[in-house]
Amino acid sequence: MSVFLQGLYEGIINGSILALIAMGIALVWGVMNILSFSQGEFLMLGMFVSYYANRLLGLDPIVAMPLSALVLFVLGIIIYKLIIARALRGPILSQRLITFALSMVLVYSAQLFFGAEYKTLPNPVKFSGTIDLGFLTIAKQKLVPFLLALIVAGLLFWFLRYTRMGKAIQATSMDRYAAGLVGINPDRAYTISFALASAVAGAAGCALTYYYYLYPNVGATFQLWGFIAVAMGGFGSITGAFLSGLLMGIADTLTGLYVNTAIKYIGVCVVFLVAVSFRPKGIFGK
Amino acid sequence: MLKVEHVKTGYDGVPVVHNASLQVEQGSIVALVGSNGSGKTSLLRAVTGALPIMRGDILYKGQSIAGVKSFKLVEMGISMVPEGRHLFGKMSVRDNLLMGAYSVRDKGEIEKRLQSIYKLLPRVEERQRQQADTLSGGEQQMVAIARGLMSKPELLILDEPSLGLMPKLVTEIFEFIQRIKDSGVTVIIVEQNAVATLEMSDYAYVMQNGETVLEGTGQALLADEQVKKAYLGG
Ligand SMILES: Nc1ncnc2c1ncn2[C@@H]1O[C@H](COP(=O)(O)OP(=O)(O)OP(=O)(O)O)[C@@H](O)[C@H]1O
Ligand SMILES: [Mg+2]
Repeated sequence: MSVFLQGLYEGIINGSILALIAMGIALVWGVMNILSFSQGEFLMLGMFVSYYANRLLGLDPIVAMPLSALVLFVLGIIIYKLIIARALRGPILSQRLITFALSMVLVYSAQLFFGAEYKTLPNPVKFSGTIDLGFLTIAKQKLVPFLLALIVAGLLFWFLRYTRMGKAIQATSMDRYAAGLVGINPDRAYTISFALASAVAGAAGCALTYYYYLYPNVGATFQLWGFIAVAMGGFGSITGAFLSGLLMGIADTLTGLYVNTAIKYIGVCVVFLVAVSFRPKGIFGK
Repeated sequence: MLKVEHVKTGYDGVPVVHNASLQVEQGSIVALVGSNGSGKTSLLRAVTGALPIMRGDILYKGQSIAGVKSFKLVEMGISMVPEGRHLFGKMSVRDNLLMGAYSVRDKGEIEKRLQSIYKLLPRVEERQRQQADTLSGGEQQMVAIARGLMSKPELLILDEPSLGLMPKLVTEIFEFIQRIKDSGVTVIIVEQNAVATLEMSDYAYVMQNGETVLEGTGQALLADEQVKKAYLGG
């Protein structure tokens, strides 16, 4: 039982990062019909912010997290204005693939500026140690991604539902033309959505550095699983993306635990295929 | 109040409106009629900042608004109820109306406007909790107009408000538009229902192949042989 619980817990932690990536992808897709292939690279950049904050200032990832989110939020705005907004005026294929090109640019830039080797945080972190519940041992650092995922999901929900900007974003996602007619600046709604998704990935990257190594290409796997989570959750559904991300983390870890680590990804794929064959539009798709 | 001067506009560089001019006096109802595809909707889109002005100019209260984006025009007092309603389908009726007052920040003021709309349109109030895309066509049209009024426009532009409605509802909508005018709002209306529209209008323009070809008071156009033949069924 405790092995199972431990596996479940680890799975939820792993799934939390996927959930965070997936929520960003779902937000961007739901609002502007852009497939955000660069979400994994925003995660990677968030990890590097955490790394340098730790190396230069000795900061813990949780302390560096607001900084990381802010840096990625601003970067998201710049990227939206310089690249995405232009692509949106172009043909549909370039709209779909623009973030793919962007992700490669970011990976190679990171290689150029930060080097290609694997890194871990050079200075010791303060938020560490374990909590022993008897049936479950919790590494404190690993709580960070999970709590972050919960907080982000809650904040996104609140923001979209109750704030003026959030409502404007929802209206724009339903009908961009009508949004303009009621006085919303649709371009602003797009910019904020893209930047928010990017900030969420940045914060996730920060949390990840507590126990994961970083290198320029680290985002690729998370990106791929994030996409699958979004597909499973029902494209555009943020709640769906959140829950599917957690579910995939659990499937992944439990398969590794009970079947074989070598084939643990198969568990995720089976869950995905079963989910999609019963509900082709995703668990929460309409 | 509004002056459209020799405007040319279109989609992706291809013009569909070649030369349109019209003038709208404050407090009047001006109609724009013409056959399908003559460019009425496109002209209104150009006026409300959704299509580029390729030639000519648009003046609102004496000031050029060519190239000004839709959302800015709302703040300047221009509101458009587009063809096809364009409600926010997954939002409630009430939220749709609230979005209509997006440019207003004073909550008390928004609530006041909402209540005055509900007073004018009790049926909209009855439906306020319902999701917009589950409304009937007539109800949707009412909500679309109501949403357009929430910004308290000085100039209200209506593109085919009676499209797809049964005659009784058409009459109701026309009466409602008349009341909007009486409250001091200037109205531009595009309609298939040419007779009823011309009867109600102070002035009217006829569009053909992307050009405004005829104009006159509603009564004059109703009597015009050419107009009768082309739009009033003989
Ligand atoms: N989004 C678009 N892209 C390209 N061409 C368009 C677009 N919308 C309309 N057109 C073309 O512009 C021309 C004028 O159309 P418009 O909708 O302005 O006419 P209309 O007078 O409003 O017609 P209706 O009475 O049917 O509403 C038509 O030939 C139409 O095919
Ligand atoms: Mg039209």
